[in-house]
Amino acid sequence: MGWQFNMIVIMALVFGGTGWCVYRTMKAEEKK
Amino acid sequence: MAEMKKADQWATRWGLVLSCIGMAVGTGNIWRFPRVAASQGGGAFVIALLIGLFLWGIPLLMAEAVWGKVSRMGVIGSFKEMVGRKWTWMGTTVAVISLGIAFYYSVVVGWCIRYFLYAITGVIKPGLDTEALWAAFSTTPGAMVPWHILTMVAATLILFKGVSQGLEKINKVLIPTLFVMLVVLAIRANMLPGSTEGLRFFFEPKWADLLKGRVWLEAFTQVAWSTGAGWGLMLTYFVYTKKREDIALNATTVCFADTMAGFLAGLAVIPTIFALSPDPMAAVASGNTGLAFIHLTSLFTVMPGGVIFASIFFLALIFAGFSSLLSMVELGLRLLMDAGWTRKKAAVAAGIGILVLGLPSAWSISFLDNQDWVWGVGLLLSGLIFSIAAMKIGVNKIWDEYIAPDSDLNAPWMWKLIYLFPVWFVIIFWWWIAQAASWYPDTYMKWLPISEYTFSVGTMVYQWAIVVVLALVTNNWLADKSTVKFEATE
Repeated sequence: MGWQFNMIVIMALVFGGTGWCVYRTMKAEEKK
Repeated sequence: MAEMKKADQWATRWGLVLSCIGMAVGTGNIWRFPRVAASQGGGAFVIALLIGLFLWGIPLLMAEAVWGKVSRMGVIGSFKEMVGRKWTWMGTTVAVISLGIAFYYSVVVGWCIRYFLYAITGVIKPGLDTEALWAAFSTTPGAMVPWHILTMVAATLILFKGVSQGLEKINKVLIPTLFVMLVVLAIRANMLPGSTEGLRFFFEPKWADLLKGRVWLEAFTQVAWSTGAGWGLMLTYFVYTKKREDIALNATTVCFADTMAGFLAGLAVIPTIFALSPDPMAAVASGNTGLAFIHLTSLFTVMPGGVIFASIFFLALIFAGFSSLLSMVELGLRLLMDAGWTRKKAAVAAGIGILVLGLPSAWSISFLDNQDWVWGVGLLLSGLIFSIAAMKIGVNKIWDEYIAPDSDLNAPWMWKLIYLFPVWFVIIFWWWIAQAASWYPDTYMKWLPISEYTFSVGTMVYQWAIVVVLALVTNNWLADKSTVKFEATE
């Protein structure tokens, strides 16, 4: 497992986590 | 019976969320996260940090949000309302620890303003001795004072305008711009020849590092200092929320966005160092200010387009630091409003108070270092106070009555991890105490003169003891003074 793969996994966790939170917030606001 | 008072509140949820992200993202995201991540196993550190968000950051931020939203009072009054009158001292302790940081944090933002001006006026150019520049600036008594004053005047003027017109408007500009700047810096850094070595160093699989205690200790410490969990700042911002504002999802968003800011800074700083520095490890090991004001500033002088890069870097530091400072001043301001002061009077008083009490740190960097040490580690105590108070009230009760009804994220386990907080506290706290003791083998309990025992165990214990004793002595008086609640209108 090279550092590039590692980079992709970490980026997916950090950016994906933030993106998921933003998406959930947008969906929640749409409902209101 | 508390008297009710109407005031302005967050106009939008995004305004609240961006302001809370601004509270959390500070200078530490830019100059501490990359340094610590790079020296503690890179990817392994980030994994430990993400776990730390769930075990430390998110539960504490949720507790803070509950305190603010339910009590509608600042840190001191909220403990009186939530835990009981005789526990008001807990809130006072948390408030003093955070204000202790506010007193010198304005000075830190002032440094960034000074260096931004150095960048745009062409002082940062080839041949500059950055070590001498920083030494002259940081050790000349009075050199930092004008920048501290400028920072506090700006913060006071913004808070003078209130929550929706001041805090919300400025954070809606500062925070998106900050993230754009971090992305620009990261892209530019990774276009430098040799920058790939930095990425490789940052992301080299070192999963065995997850078995090292030090990696976890550093990751949890980073979470505690970076997310602002337990400081009372999120609490203060949640005083002004709508009646049915979400807590769980907002707290999670703040933690992840805070980590993303640090990570982006890492993608900018580490590749830059590896591309340009003759000794990258010396830069990584040089401490926060050493990294930013000596090593990176030196690299900016030889980098193509370095003036632009330096200007954006220091402007990002200003935005990150200033948005955090605003929340700290608002914390103090809210305490005065709880006692019946108008916002305008409270803003001026809090601004002048922090300006004056920050002067010793603006005058002497060893005093600033001491205060950073004492109240930085003290924040761990603040976290413990919130966790114990939550257990006293009832962790299940808080979820059922205060979090679940308006939650856009139905994950009670995330909240209930607060039960484990005292375990992490004991480990992390003991580690810091043991480290400090090792720095002063025979004199670790000494604390005066501060310039000699800047980072001793004694300097922490004695200053904390003074605060706790004062908080206990003033318990009833402050409980009687904190009576005016914020009234949310929708």
